Amino acid sequence: MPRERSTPQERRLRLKFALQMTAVLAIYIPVLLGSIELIEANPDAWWRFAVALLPLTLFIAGALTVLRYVLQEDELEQRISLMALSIAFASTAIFTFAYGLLQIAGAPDASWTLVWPVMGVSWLIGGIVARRRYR
Amino acid sequence: MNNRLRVLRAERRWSQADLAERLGVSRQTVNAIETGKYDPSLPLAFRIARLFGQPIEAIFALDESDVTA
Repeated sequence: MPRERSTPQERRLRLKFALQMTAVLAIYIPVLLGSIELIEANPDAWWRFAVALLPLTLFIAGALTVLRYVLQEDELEQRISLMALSIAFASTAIFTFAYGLLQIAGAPDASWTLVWPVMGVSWLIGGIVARRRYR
Repeated sequence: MNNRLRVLRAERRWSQADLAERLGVSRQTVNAIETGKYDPSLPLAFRIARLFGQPIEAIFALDESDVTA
């Protein structure tokens, strides 16, 4: 039996999300690299903190894109998204807390920017786990 | 909760994607309801009942475990 395909509205929604996220990433990466370069070239400039936060605007745009996508999902997909985010939240909390405890024992300092990749990866894994539950 | 969604859909020769499109939900949602992995919300159950022209209780029935819980 052939595997059933998703509906056209599902495919449209996913395509729209993928395009918007690609656009955000396409702007985010050069802005991030540009801001790092600018700060390194001007380490004492008064505006360096504002420039350092510039990539955050794109990050917020990405977060809003995800939020818009979730709001357009149907009720089961929203449940799956909630479960995925819950898994990501719990995993990140456990990881960061565990690393904090390890730092007391002498583990090296880690950058705060590493929290997001941990959250992102655990969100991805959470999504796979949650989706399998309803397959 | 048990349901007759798969039977009703098969009677109309609709695929899961056809039914999902008519209900405005994803194909995975239709599949999860049919396999009993997900119980739809009341508004969605009403939409399903209206689409098939039957009362909700003719499509969905409580399990013994649902009644005692």
